[in-house]
Amino acid sequence: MSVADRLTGFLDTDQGGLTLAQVLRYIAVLIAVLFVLIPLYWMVATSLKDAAQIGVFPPNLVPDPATLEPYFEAWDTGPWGQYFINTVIVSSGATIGALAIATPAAYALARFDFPGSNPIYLLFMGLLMIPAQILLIPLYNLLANLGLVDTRLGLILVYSTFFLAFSVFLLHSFMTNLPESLEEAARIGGVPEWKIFGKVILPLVKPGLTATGMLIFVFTWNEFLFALTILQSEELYTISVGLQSFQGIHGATMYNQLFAMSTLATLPVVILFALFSDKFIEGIAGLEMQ
Amino acid sequence: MQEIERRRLLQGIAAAGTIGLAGCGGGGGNGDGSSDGNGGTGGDGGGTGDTQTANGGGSGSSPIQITLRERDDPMAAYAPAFNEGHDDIEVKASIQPPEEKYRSLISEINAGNAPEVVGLDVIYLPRFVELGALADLGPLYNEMGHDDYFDPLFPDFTTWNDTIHGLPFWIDCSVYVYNKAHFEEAGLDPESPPETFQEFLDASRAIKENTDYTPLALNLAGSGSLGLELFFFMPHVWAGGGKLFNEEMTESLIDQQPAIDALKFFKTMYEEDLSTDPTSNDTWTLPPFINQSTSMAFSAGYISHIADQAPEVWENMGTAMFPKPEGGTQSSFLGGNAVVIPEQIKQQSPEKFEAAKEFIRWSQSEDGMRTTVEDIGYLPPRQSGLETDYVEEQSHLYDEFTRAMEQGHAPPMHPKIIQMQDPLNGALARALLGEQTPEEALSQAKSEIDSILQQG
Amino acid sequence: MSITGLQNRIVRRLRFDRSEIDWKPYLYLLPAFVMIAVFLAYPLVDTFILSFQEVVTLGIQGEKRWVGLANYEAVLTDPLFWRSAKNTIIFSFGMLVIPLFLGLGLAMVINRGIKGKSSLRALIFVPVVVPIVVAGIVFSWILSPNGLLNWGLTAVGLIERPIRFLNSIELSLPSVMLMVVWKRTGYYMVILLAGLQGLPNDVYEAAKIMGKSRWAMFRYITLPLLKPAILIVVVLGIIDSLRAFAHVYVMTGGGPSNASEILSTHFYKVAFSYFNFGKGAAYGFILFGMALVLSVIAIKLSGGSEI
Repeated sequence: MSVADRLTGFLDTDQGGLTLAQVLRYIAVLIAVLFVLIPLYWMVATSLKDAAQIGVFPPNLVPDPATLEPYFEAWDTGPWGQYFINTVIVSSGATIGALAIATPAAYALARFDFPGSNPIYLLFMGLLMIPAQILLIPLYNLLANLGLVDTRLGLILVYSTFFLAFSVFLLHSFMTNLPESLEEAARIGGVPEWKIFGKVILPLVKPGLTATGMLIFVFTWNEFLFALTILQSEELYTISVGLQSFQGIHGATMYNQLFAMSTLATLPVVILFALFSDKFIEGIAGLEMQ
Repeated sequence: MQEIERRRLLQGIAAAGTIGLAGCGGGGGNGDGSSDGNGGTGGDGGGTGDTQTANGGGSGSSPIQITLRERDDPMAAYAPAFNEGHDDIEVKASIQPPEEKYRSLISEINAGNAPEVVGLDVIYLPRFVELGALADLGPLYNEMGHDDYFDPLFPDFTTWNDTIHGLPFWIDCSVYVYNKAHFEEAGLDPESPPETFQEFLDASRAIKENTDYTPLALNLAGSGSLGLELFFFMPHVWAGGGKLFNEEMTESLIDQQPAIDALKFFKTMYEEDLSTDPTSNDTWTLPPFINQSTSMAFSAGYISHIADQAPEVWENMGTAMFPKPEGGTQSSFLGGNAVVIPEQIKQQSPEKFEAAKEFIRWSQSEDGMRTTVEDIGYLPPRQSGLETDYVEEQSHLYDEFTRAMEQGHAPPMHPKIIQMQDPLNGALARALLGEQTPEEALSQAKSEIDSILQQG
Repeated sequence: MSITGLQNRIVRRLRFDRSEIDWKPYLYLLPAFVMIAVFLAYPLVDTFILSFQEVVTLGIQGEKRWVGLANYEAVLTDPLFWRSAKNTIIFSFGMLVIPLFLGLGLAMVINRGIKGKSSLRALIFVPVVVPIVVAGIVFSWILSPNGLLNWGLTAVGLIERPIRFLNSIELSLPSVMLMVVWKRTGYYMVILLAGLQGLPNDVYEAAKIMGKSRWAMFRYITLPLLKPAILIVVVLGIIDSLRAFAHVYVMTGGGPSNASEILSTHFYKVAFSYFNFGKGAAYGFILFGMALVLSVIAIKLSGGSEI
């Protein structure tokens, strides 16, 4: 047995019984889980410490005393409830916006053979490669001319545009994999075109839409470069912009409060993923089919 | 959050104080330009209280609204303090974090919707002037005619290309703070903090030997472009007569002896374990001082929060100017914000331009400076701003700040100064981490800065 | 969706217009084109033009001067550009290579014979969701001289003096990469796991019966079938290696002495800290070009013309 063979065997067996390989596999998973958990634990643990326990050496591994005080203190530093509402609005808006525009585009590129289809697909791929930061200043300019600076709609439109290529890229690969016969049958049966897209194709790519949508939601939830530039009024801030305010320039960062709000900011998305994790995986799984 | 509560409290006090003081000022008629302006304003409406009712009734014209852009929450206190004495102008504070401020500001200026008044970090002044973004404030400066500005502020802090484009708003200086109890414990005289490199080293060694404390909380070359290589390092170079670059701005002088001496001083501090890690990415030097793990800390002038966080430290601490080489003159970095008006405001709306100028007048007045010192915790541009009861009460801290304001240096002004921080930061890091000797590191920094200067 | 609704109505109306060309796909693409034309074309073209100009004065009526290729030349002759490029290659191991292998390994382990599969994969995905700024601060904290890791290493007796992970010429970039690996592994694992779960079981059964070794099964069945998923990971990894910014910025700011400077952070400094607008625009297009070329190479190497 070659080394490579051993390795793949170790990673990839499904034999019953507790073999050595299986024990090693559990150890590998355990290490991975610890690697993932330790920073998360440290974030949550720090968020439960009072100021006196911050930055002490040796560190308090367990908050003692554990207190929710940083959460209340941090919550009072700004209109956090409003930040959460704003973030939900912006992320949902951007997700829906990007999907609504990208889905028909991906459908056209995946299911039709038409003059220019290849260059157009490459164009989308190209747009995917743009480092978005380079467009910051002219984009701000554009939004200012449209009166969309300092509005949630402005940010939603920007996000939708930036995730358009990403969505087309993912959805395209879902759709190319659907059997050709579907539409053929429908067309021969005289089903109107809009029904083919709406009633035949869309339900089939629902998992793909879910997966793509969740990724957009997560990324826009955490984006701060554009949010910070486009939103200027505090009442429109998203959470990620709010989190910046803990890194004041004139004093030490209030780590416990920063981590408290970070925990709160992360939680909704974690719950969302936990709830839809199966659908999400199922959606992503659509990608693998040739 | 303690900090925030304190700010609110201070704002309340500020508001109350301003009302009282405005009355006094009017009565005393102290002859200051801005007080006269206030008096006139009050006269229009026939008394402050009445004007507001009149406005509420809709008969008066609504006040001109202008926005003040600043970088940090405490600076929001300028808005209520100003509005208190002005019925015809309403200032709204717009706070954006420093890192993002200028990117947003550039975008706004580019799109033609810049805020009317901006607190601009003074080291950015030349670049913004170069881009034609700032209005000429020379006439306003002459009209106000204050003659007690601290010396280092004119012309360097305010002037680029022989024109005044900004006035000093709130000043921050670099000093060190020390814990008197620790000094006593180490057998040092708490009333005469070290003044030379050698004295500083000796005192630090005494603290290290006789106590459990780390002598100094220091940072020079941490990440995050906070500019500590200018703020903390350059005063030690200036103290020995050195400079970042020559008068003609054609050549860097950072490889010369004063800079080498300063760097060697820090290298010794670090190598003998007399300081915290000066290349650390945790750039805050005050927290270890506040929790008493260090006896001294390099600091900005913004220290009043220590009073809340650690009263026992606050009660028994001193401030001192940075040490100097033998025969030099102690120095400090006078940074902070200049108050500027974007050129486009002048073009777009003469009315708002006038309102913005009125705010600047106020910011240079006793009333405005009081807000800077007492509510916000920074230093005022003029000497009269430090001749108040409040400062008198805190003289043990403010005496050194006053000396720093007189003896310090404005930042080296150049449109590409931000770009020059990087080579300097890198050189300090390499020398302190032992990658290069101070001479090698600074000579490399010199050639890198030279090429930035020569890009034109 | 109102846009979809509107578009469907148009589609219906046009169905009766039987001309030679099939207009349907173009109609489906129309909203995307409108969106791109409005929100992307202008900034993109504007930035492209700017990359051949120098900004003399700012503002709506701002003055600009043509400088030809000088901005591109300025970027390519900047020694820091090349230093950053080298660092970016190293960084891409954290962004792409290491998490790809770890993600693949974990996906394979989790895919077979592990209890609590779905909660495990959810857990490993959590770092993806943590805001990058927060992840950066948490790791900076853990890696600081009096942080958790140094405490642990000292307590176990592995080291005597704390290691300065973040402000060390040698260790700063790897330290950032540690955080990046933490954040990316779950992302890739989920994509790959989904790929693995979709693999037809009967192929493996057949292979087993034919007595193929496990390596052979992995090499000749799993890997080819996973190819699209891996390619997606590779393309996303390449793009993000070139544009990931906050990762480095938050933890080391590119220091010390530019030891962890990567292209995106250096670009950011040029464009937004030094306000060299023209050079920044040129820099941006160089990054854009690199992402494009590298992705095309990856796609070609994988033998597929499409993903």
